[in-house]
Amino acid sequence: MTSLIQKLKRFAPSVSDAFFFLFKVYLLFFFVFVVLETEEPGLVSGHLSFSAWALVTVGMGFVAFFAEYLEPSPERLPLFRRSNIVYTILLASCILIWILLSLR
Amino acid sequence: MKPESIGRILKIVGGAVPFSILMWLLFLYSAPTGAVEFERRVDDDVNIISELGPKERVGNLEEDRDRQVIQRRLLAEPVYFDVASLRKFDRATVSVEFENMAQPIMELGLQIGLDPRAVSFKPLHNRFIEQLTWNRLEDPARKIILLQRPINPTTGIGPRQFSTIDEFLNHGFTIERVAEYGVNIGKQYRIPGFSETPRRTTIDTPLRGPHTMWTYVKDGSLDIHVDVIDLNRASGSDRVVVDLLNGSDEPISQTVLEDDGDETTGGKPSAQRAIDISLSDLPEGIVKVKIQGSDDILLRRIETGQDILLFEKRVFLAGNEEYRRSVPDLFVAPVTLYTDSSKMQALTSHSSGLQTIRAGATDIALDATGVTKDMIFPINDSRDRTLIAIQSPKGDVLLTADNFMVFEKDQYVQPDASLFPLQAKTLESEFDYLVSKGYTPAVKEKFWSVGTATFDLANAFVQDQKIRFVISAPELTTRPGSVKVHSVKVRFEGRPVTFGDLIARLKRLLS
Repeated sequence: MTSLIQKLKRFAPSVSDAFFFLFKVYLLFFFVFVVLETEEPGLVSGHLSFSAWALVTVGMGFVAFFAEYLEPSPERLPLFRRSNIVYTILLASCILIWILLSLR
Repeated sequence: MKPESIGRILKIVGGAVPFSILMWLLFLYSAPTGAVEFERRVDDDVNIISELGPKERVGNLEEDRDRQVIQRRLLAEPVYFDVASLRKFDRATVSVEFENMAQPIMELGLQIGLDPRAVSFKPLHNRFIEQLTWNRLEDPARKIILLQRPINPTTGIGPRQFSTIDEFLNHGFTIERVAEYGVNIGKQYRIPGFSETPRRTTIDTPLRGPHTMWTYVKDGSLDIHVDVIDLNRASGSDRVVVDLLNGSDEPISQTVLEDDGDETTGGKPSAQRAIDISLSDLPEGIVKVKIQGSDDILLRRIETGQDILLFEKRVFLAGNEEYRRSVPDLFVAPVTLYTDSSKMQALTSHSSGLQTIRAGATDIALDATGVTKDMIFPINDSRDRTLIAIQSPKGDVLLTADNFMVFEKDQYVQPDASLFPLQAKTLESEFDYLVSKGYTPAVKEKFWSVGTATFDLANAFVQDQKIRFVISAPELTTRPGSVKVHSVKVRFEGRPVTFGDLIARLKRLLS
């Protein structure tokens, strides 16, 4: 068990880094999809579940957070601190826009 | 593997997913091949195809545990669904997976006007055609199906049996008890003992826009004279095309009156011009006169040597001060028409057309412009035609009906006396023959029937980039819940996107 945690810790900074990158990419695409949906109703929601996308995005953020928690990297800003609050606000905005869209 | 490699692979694979989805969505959006297909099961939450609605006419999601399927029941009709049309397509093929437990006729429609009742219907499922075990003849090339009630083996009594569809078509109009569905083949009607009178039939009431008239030729000759004025109220060409068709909708002749040359909006009305059609050596039977053009054309006067003159489904009375302002010597007088319809609608667009219309024994108040008023005549059904008088004191009213209108009672004849349209409420005992054209039986799958209809989208009413389709099953009111729907599939087809289109689009964006 101890050796497994040690192994995970070895990979944790890379995993955290990768998932944080993906978290930002998926967040960006959430925004792109919301814009597309606003322009062409049904274009995105006709094929893709916004809820599932939001869930995956948040999931990536959490994976990144826990990997960071497991083995913090001294070279990077820890997740959900300082500038990362911007991404959190962006995510919350996207979810709000999506809720408003779904209420139309 | 090194931790850095793991991180790199995760970034590449994970990052490729949203990019691929974006490309896929753009592909669907532009449908570069010209075709795109969408499907929605009743339990899906994707909304390029909307849920079946309105909610009060559709039951909740149900799970049939025996068959392990999800379904919704239709509780009333019509039920509709909207489909997002992300670019312009030429046609849509719509398939519905359903189970029909009791509805005699189900139809699928495309909304073609702002009024939700303006729907072009096509067959979806016809239990008469699919389930009657009568003698069946089919002509797949012409898509004609003929069902003949079999001779009772005990009594030896029954209707005449035809061995081919053509034999039936050649004789079918002298026989009784024929129900027709989606056909016009039954209109080769003969009036026994009919003889033309020397009098001429004249319609002095001005009419606006396209009209279709049915007349009857006995001695081979037909003449018709129409005085036309181009009102020039709206922009665009106001070409008038008069098609003559026989009872089977086969063309006889075409006459064209070109636009008067003024295509502007709010221009002066044109001088009166005449369309004269004179034909001889025609076979005896019904002739349809289809006057086609925009609502800018005014048919000031119609005169014909034929005795019979039926107006099919639409009459736009224009004898009103509204038009006299443009055409000072226009004939304006109260009008009485007679109809054999069971349903009519009346609509006026101008305050000078507000009036009370007398329909049989009922007064219908046209008290607001642009509001359609319904008239129901329960005494008329598919078999019993009684003429009902419709009196309009002021004109300027668009009358639409489900059958014919005439200006004088003696201009009327029931042109399909031995035939009647098959309706959901028709009883099997009412007919001995059922003839249909263009009906494709629903395909039976494991649990569901799949009915398919193809629509030309040129006339589709598009609102917020959505096209509305309608499922109609008229007897749902008496048997709610007797139709279960599982899924809807829509395939749009149009012109493929070419490189030239992309260049043109780019130029438009840059200009």
